[in-house]
Amino acid sequence: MAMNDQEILDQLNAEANEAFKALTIAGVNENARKGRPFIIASDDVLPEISVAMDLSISIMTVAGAMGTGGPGAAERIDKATEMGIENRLCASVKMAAYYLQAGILPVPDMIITTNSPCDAVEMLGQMMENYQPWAKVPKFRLDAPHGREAADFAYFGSQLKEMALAIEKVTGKKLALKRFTEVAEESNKQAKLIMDFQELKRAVPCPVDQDMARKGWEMARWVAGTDPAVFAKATGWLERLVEMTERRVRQKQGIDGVAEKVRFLWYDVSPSWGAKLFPRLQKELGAVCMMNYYSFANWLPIDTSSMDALLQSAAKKYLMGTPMTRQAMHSADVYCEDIVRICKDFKCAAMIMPCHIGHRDTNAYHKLAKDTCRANGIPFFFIGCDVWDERYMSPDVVFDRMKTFFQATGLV
Amino acid sequence: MTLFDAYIRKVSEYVEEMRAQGRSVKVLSTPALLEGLPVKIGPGANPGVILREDTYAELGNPEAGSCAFALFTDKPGLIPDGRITLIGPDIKEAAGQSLPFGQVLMMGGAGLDDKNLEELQQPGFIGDQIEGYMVRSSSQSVWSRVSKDAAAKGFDFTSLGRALMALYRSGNGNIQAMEAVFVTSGRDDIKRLDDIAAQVRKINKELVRQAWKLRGYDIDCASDCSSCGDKAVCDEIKEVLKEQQARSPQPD
Repeated sequence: MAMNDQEILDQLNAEANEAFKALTIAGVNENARKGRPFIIASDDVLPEISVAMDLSISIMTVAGAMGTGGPGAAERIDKATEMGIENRLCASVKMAAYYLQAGILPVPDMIITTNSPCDAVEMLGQMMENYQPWAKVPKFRLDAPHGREAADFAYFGSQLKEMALAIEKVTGKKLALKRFTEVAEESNKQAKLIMDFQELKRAVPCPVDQDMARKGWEMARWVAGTDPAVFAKATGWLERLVEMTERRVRQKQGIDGVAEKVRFLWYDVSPSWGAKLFPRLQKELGAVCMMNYYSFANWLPIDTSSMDALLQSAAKKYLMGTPMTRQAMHSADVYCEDIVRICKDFKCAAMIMPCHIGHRDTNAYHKLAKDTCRANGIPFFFIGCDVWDERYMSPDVVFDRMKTFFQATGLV
Repeated sequence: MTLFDAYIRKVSEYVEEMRAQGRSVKVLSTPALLEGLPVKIGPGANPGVILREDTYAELGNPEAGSCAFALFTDKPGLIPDGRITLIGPDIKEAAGQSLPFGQVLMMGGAGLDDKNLEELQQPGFIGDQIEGYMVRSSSQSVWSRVSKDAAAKGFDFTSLGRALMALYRSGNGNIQAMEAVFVTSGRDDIKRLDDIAAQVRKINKELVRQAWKLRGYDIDCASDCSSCGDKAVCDEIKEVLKEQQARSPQPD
């Protein structure tokens, strides 16, 4: 018997939640046990390369972020502060720093660090580079430029090439053109599906919770990076999501149990306590979040015509199409243009800027964002929470503030 | 405002180059902008999403090739008002296809200046304003779908050009003349057009930087380090990083 939409969604969620275990600290240890060359990176380094080289790359910041939603999170975040980590640092990075300093991570075959997307990750990378038990582990540092010109993409493409050569030297695994091309073609298929899902969310009412885009993206990008076998499976997951969402759009069905009244942009990452906020906003106020950093895709295909083209277009995809790297690494006009574009395309009546305490870049942008919203007639609201630590501002307080904002502006 | 005048000429030269290379170049007739337009235009004219199976043709998928930019001048005489040029096949010849797509919009008006940059340089900002035409949310290019219903009503590049002209003119009263060039003939032709676009993007970037500066913000480094007031700080940071790198333990 065919499954109904809710059953399909439940199954997609169950598969995603199962896959996300690979991103947790337990998953990192499990990845190390699998025998494949095992690398730890400070942040995202593009799965296409690791998949093509049959490697497992675990991401420290992601493991930290996953940890902030797990049991004992508060104690571990506080322990990191006791270890001397700066108190206002992003809690996902604090958690990752705790994992490192507590000595509970396996020794990797190689470390890759990067200056993207933010100053906190840069600092985590320096901690990894200087961590004494890993002193003899080979290291490679990726230097992501802040520009978005052809020269920037060429520069970062050469960085990726050097990274692949460094990995080859350590692990003996090669980045073969044929395999890299196959993986890039699959990656292009996935990115197009994520983009298709993104476009379907424009429908009024919004057919499916926007957070499904984040889940699809994380499956294809982060989980696949830890286990090449997951890479192709992510395509099937996304196809099922798009097929179901198209059906709902045709039937003009909104999110089950939600009477949509207002659509808004949450201009930051999805909080680890989001499940305590967004469903409540939907059900009690009819306020539907349409987009966050991780559900906004700028689909940039990887050009498979040659090895140089592969690397340079992958570099462009990394710099301009990676959530948070796009927003945090580039100039303020990209950040502000995206606000206007998202609000217009997705009919968002308001922009909510969480101003995550650890995101110094967004806190620096806040007046620019305000000016942009004013100039374009978009009501805006700044919160000032910690997206990874609900003790700083509880989901109930965030809900109350947003409710007051929506009521005061007449949006609900 | 003469910054883009040279590029308006370059686009004309590009069209001639395409013609000389044997491409199909049609200069489409443009009656009054809205009279007889087969689709509705204006806010909410395309309220829904155009689904895959309702799509007659896709334009500007980045894999097929995509490029879009706008140019403007304060000399309206440089722009043949209402002219729409199509290089390559029209929509009706593209059933079920994904066409490469280049779009150049050129506007002239004595009152146009660099303050108009933000509103005029956002070709994707059409949103839901053309019935049967959906521009996807993708920056620096136009990637769009034309619905089967719109195609059946006769929507073609003349309609698209007229609709865009009407929307831009309604949004900016300073536009006195407007011309559109569409390219669907091939990926290489789009790439050639993108060479012009790359230069235009550099000018835009500088104009945007200056516009933000007028509002009191420095959004980007000055491109010339030798004239930058923060050079000493930057140099110091680089030195510290170099020292840190040198101190980092290296593998045996």
